[in-house]
Amino acid sequence: MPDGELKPLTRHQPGAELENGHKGASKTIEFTARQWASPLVKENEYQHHTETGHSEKQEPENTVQPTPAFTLQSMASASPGAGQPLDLDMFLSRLKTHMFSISCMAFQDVWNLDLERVRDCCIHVLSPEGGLIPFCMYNLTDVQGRSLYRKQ
Amino acid sequence: MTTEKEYSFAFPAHTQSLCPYCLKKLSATRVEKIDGVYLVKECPEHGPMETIIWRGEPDMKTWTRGKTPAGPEIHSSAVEKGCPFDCGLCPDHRQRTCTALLEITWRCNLHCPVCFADSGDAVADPGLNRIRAWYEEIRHLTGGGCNIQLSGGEPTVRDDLPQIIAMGKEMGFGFIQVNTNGLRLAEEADFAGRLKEAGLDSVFLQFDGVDDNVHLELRGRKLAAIKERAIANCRSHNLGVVLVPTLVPGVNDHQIGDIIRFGLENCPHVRGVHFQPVSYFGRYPKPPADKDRITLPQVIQAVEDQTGIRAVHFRPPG
Repeated sequence: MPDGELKPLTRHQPGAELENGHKGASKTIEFTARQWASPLVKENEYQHHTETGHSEKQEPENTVQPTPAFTLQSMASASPGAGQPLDLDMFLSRLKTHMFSISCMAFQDVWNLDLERVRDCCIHVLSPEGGLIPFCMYNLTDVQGRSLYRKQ
Repeated sequence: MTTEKEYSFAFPAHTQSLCPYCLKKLSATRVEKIDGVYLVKECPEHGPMETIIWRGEPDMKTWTRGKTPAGPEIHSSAVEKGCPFDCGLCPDHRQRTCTALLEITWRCNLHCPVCFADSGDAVADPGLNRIRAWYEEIRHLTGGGCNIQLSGGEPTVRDDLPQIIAMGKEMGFGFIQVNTNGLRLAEEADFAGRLKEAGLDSVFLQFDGVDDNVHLELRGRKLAAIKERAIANCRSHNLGVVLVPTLVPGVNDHQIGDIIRFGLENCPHVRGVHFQPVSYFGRYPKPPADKDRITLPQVIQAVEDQTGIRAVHFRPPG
C-alpha cells in the first residue's frame, strides 16, 4: 500500500480434496509469468513513486512457485487492518502493480535426494543430448563430482 | 521415534534415494527425530547415512497439496531402469514442464565457490541454429506453454543474447527470463534496454545479501554496488527483477529480512525474492554437515522472525 503497509494475499486454502494437477501447473506457469515480469507501471507513475521515496508494497498473492514439493510462497503482511478503511480502487490498482512475492525452492542433492519429490518436479533442463531432465537430476553428482546426466 | 502411522497416503514415510558414492538406487525413510525429519538410507556397499531434510514448523506432513498426476503428454524416454535413470521425461513423471532451462554458454565472468554450473572457457557456445532447435524441441515436448529461463554459465557474456531472446519470443514463448549475476547489466547502462527491446520479461538476479561481507564470502568479490546498479538499470528500462539469494547457514541466513526489505524498497521493479537454500553438487569427499543446511521451514521461520511477515501466509506449491 502507498503507506508501506503489507497485505497478505495468500489465497489457497488447504482442503482434503485432490486438486487437479494440470490446472495447478497452468496456474503456476501463469502466476510466475505475470508476477515475475516487468511491472505494469507507466513511466511517470513509477518515477513519481521513486521521487517521493515511498516504499510501496503490497503483498502478493498466493504464490506459486515453480516447483515441486517444497516451495513456499507467500506474501507478506505486516499489521493487517491498521489505518484507514481500504479504498477499493486504490487496492485494486496496487494489486496490479505492487504485488510482491516471496518464494523458496529447496533443490535436492545426492545426500537429501527424495525420488518421490523428483517425480513432481516441474523445472526441467533441456539436455543438449535431447530430452527434458528435472533440474536437480541434471545437476546431481556423486561425491567424486561425476554427473548422472550432465556431460562433463 | 518414527511415527509412521501418522504419515498419510499423500506423504508416506518411505521413499527412494541414491547412494552418494556409487549412485545405486536405495530405499529411504523419512524419520522424525526430536530436532527434525531426516532422510535415512543405507547402501549395502557404503553403509548407512542420514541427512536433515526438515527442521521445525510447519509440520512436514502438512506441507503437501494432494493433486492428480499431471505429467507431460509426450515422453522422450520410456520407463526402463526406473526413476531417476530414465529422465527425458518418462511416463512415470507426475508434472509437466513449468519452466524449461536452456544453458546457452559454459562461460562465466564470476568464479563462485558455491556454483554448480561449469565456468570453463574451453567449450564453444552453441550457435543460434542449435538454440533454435532447442526451442523447437521444448515446444514439441511441452506443447509450448511453458516459461523459459536462459541460464549458463552466465548468459549475459553472449553478445547475441538479445537475438536469442527475440528468437524465443518469435517462436511463441510467452515468458523469457535471464538468470544472471548482474555484472554486465551493471557495467553497460544500455544492456538492460537491449534485452528489454528484444522481448525479455524478467531478470533472475543472483542476490545473496545486502553487504559486501556476504558477497566476498560466497562469490569472492564485492558486489553490493554492482547489484544496485544492475537493478537501477533494469528499473530505467522497466524490466522486472527477481532477487535470488543462495542461502548458506552462518553466511547470509541472518540477512533474509534485509533482503526482503531491500526488495520491497525497490518494488515494483523488484518483483519478489526467491530463496534457494544451498545444495551440494560437485566434489564433496565428506558428507555436508547438517549444520550446513537450511531447510524450508527454517527459511519460513526466519522470514517471520526477521520481517514480521507471518509464517502462516506461506503455502506449499500447487
